[in-house]
Amino acid sequence: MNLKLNLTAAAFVGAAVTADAQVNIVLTGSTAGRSQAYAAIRAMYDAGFSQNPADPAPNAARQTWSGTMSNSVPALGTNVVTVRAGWSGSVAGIRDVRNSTGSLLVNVLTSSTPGSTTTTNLVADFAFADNAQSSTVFLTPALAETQLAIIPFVFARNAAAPASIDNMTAQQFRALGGAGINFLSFWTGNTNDMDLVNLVGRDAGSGTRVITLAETGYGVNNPIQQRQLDGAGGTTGTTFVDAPFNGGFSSGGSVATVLNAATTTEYAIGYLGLGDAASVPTSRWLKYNGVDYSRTNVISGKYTHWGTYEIANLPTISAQLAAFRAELVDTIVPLATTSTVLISLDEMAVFRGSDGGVVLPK
Amino acid sequence: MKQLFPFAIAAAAAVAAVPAEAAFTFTSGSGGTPIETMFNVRQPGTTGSLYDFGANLGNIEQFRIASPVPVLLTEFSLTQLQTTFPTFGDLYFSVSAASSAAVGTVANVSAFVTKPRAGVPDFSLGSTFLNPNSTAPNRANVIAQGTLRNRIIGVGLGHVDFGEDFSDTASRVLDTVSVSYTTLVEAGGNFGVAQVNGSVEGFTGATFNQTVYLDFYEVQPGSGPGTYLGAFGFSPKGDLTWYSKASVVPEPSTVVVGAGLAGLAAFTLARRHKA
Repeated sequence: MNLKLNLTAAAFVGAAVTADAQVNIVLTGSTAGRSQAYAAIRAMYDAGFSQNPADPAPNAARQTWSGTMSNSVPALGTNVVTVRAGWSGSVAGIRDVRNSTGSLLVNVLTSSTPGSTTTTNLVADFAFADNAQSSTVFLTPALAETQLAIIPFVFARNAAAPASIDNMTAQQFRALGGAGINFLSFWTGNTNDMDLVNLVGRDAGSGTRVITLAETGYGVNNPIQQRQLDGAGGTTGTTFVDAPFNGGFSSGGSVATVLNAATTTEYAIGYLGLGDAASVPTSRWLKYNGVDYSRTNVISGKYTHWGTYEIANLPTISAQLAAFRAELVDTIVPLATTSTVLISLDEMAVFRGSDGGVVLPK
Repeated sequence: MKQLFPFAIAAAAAVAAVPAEAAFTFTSGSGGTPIETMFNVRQPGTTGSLYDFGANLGNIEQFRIASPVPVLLTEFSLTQLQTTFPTFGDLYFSVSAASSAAVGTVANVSAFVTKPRAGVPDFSLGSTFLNPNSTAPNRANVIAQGTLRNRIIGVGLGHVDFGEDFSDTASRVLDTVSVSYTTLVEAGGNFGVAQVNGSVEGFTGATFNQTVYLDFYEVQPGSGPGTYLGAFGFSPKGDLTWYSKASVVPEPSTVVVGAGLAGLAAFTLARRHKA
């Protein structure tokens, strides 16, 4: 089992899990939805819990909390519950949560003491994902998946790009993904516009990428060429160059950094979850297939660049993990009704049966 | 996901003598790796196999140099093909490679594709493959050629990610997978791009009773037709033979006992892709 119950000597001689026990839980997966998981976890703790990094840190790549959840998860009693999150991307999360042998580990902050930077590698208990397991190459063992909300995505242009880049069609994206570049004329309609537009995006561990490749018909596992800047880490510099073939950035935050880079005069388009897109002015968000992103347009079915946010885990988990999971689901689902990153499933007037599938009325 | 399917487990020792844990591998030039070449076979239709077959023929460079003798490619077996296609006919097949980085004189975003060779060649002693007999694919700019490049590489990576492996060079993949050969080459057999000028595939017919030949072209980014390199012959025995455009079909005895054998052996060793 993945529940790591470290009993102290006192608990060990006791008949049951006591206040001395530690319940350790590891979360991984979607970077696009991490701010919502962050809000839900905080809401589940009793008052007085500790958190690293200190609040607010909804978009940190690693987050660790410790305290009790006696009110929200009575089954955990007064045990100290330490939740460690290492957000590595939806596909990477699905890959890692399948592991029960300890060979695939998630890098997390060891301590919930604010400011501590020591990390450790642990087996994941739960993965959040923007996409279904069936859209990945990690098909076995089949995971237990529960849909939580709709998670929309947007295309956005970089700071240097002209306002004439105001839309992305599925066809434009499919052409852009071939070599990671295309001529500006594809957006302006002026065949003299021979400047290049670069594609900036995520690595193969990303659900944002899976949904984008599925939605545009590019093919979820079809290799893609993307671009990055020529400076350190690919997020700084003046010139766009090829990212490693079929590679990309491990977080949407890096994509946003590139799109906001003032160091380049070259043009680029990236795709992001709304949490990361928040740092890019909405004036640089593109229409998708001619439709602006809005909550209303997603709900009605006009805007279709979205996936289904879910939680996934091995089919058999301990009773304590199951209790934690149930409360996590119950906490995060209502958050979606007021979220700027998610949309509640109940609000949706439409649905789709698979990632990139046809959007149909309910 | 990698898994060795039951047949391979049971028959590995007897058929291929490949360790059971051998996993299919494929590279396309990134990180200093060789650009490797895929032999792909599919059997569409309602009575066709559920699987596509793929074999990694090794480094593309072996097909870019002149070989005076035909070369029998040994990265797969008839048994593996017949396991994938119990009804051994109605097969569509091609050979392809593509670059995800510049390697030697091969530019990034280059492609190598086959085209069906017209007619039934005369392969008597002394016949050659000096000239193509097919409609050459067109070269295109990097932007246009990227789609072709990615799909070709996608087929190879599909065997890495989804393959049920016979060996480290042969694998089968469910043809419904998003990166199967069937999916990416599309029904028209052209990888969904016009620049290849029609299908890249050969067809064995329902009764696969004679060798089917495909011309092989190098398609570097640019303009004009691709460069002819030679031809592949796929026989009903499941043999795939490479005929460089410099090849001269020899008498069998010449191949077996003469200098041709030494050349064949040396060339076979040289082209093995496992570094």
